[in-house]
Amino acid sequence: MNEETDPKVWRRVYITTVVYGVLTIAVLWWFTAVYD
Amino acid sequence: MHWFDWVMIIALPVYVVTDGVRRSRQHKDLEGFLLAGRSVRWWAVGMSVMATQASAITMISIASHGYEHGLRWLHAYLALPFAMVILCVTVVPWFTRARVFTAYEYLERRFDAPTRVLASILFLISRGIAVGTSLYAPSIVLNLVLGIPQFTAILLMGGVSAAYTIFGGNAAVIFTDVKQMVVMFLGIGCSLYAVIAGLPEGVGFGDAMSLAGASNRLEAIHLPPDAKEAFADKYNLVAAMVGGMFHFLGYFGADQSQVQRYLASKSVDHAKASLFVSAFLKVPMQFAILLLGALIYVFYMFTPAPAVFRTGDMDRVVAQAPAAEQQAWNTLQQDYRAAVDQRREQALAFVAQGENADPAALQQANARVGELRGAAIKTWRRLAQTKEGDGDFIFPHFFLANLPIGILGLVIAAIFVAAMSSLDAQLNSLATSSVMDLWVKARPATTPDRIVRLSRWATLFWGAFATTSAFFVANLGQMIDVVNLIGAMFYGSLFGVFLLGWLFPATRGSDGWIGLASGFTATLFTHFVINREANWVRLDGSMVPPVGYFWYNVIGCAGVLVVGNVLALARRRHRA
Repeated sequence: MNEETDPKVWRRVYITTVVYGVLTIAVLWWFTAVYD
Repeated sequence: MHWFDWVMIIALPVYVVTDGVRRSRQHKDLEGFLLAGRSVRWWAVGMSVMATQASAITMISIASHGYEHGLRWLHAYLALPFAMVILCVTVVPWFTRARVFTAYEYLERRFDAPTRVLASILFLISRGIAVGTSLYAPSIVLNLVLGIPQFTAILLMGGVSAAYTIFGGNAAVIFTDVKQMVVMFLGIGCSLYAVIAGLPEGVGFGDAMSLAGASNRLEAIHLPPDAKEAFADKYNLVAAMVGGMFHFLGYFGADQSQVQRYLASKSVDHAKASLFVSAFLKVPMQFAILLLGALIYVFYMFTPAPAVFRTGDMDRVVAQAPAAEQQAWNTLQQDYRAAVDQRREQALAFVAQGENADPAALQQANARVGELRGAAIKTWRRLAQTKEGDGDFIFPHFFLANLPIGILGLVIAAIFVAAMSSLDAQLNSLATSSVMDLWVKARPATTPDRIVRLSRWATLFWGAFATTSAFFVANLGQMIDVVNLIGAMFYGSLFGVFLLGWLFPATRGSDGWIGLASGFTATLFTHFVINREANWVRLDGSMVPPVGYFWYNVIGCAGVLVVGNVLALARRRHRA
């Protein structure tokens, strides 16, 4: 329970997730522009 | 239906449930029953978190939504990755390290006992109302496939889910959820393959996408042109990123049905990692289901579809209607078939023209079909004397008529297990909160063994409650809207009181429950006064409430924060 990963690792995970969220919106924006 | 489909329908859910219960045997004490001994790995918890959110509504109602409105519902999920990061930085470490049984225990430690009790009661009311929707959607399928009355279908599904949750507790919930999620993924993938394979010769996947796009079914991102639309329209980027963000913060951070999933994790790291399963998989999964609905729309450009997808029900009410009504219905159906034939010609011409195709003629044909379908739905409502439409029947009608042997059984099994995966977690969390936050709070001397027994009885009670409430949700509208509206009315204020505790150290004691009550009242005021029918605004040709329900989350949260801080400020000034 007390063994926790280095906060720096989690910070990288958080940044990756935020980038993923932004990229998802960007890709969907492109998708809408192409097809809709 | 083929015998192999029956084998799939019966064998898959039976295997999933029995294996889940078998794996729960070692968890018999209090922590074992309620939290699977806090020993579960991140991927299992993560799948359970996804399965809890993904009910049969996800399959049936969202695919049907994709048919009617295209990808617009995807907006609702865009804020999810960002919300998960915020939750992992804030609530998840606190809940997991504090070794609480319910989220609302925090509120007693931070504010006072009434705040904990009020939050628990609000959760029980919201989840108690919503739990009925989880049973209603699969009852449609059982009714269509087996001809079982929806009443019996609801009793059957509610009974099975309650039974294994009573027997195996949270461990059974999580381990069944993992397999249920796998079956759901398979069901979605096979349905997508089947709809693409079912397109006529000469119409490929690319053509189907172009047809869906030309029919306004592929708008995944919509920027509102003004503030009025940003507030009133549920499907736009602003409402998604603000209202949707608070919706998910409330759902995953203050709703016990989700908090109890990650409380079962073996460590803080595992709890955090479990939420990233949803953060990365949820949007692609919803995209696939909505795309399935949009492609079914294209599929029915080439294959005759009924004007009303509740074909059996419609035949019954028409047969009982006066002769003049029957005549009018026959005329409407003839017009509808002619409009569908006309649209097929336009769709084929559109495909033949290739990249330079002009969508105007197809859009006109779509509008004519839509207009006649709207008239048919009005006829259904008038003859059946109901507010219910046929939105949740579109996807079931498609797969019953068009899926091949084996895949049909798999998809129906996926819908059943989706229903159970959501219902079991809700029953488990309702039982835990009612026992731990209300019963044990009133009787602290209750022994752990007695708490486990009480939790089993509470699960039985909530199972009975869910089956009863399922009979009353049918008239509320399309299930995906109903379940999210219910959530939005409660999540904002529930998450707001947690936020009040974390962000504002000066608040204390009764600031919590008074703030919570005020935030919830602000949401009720918005829904029942500001959004009452007399105030509706015109948007995109239809009349809609001025405040889309995702914004209720923001209003509820803001209400808690404002009132809580005003009380704290007033107390400081009074002392000064």
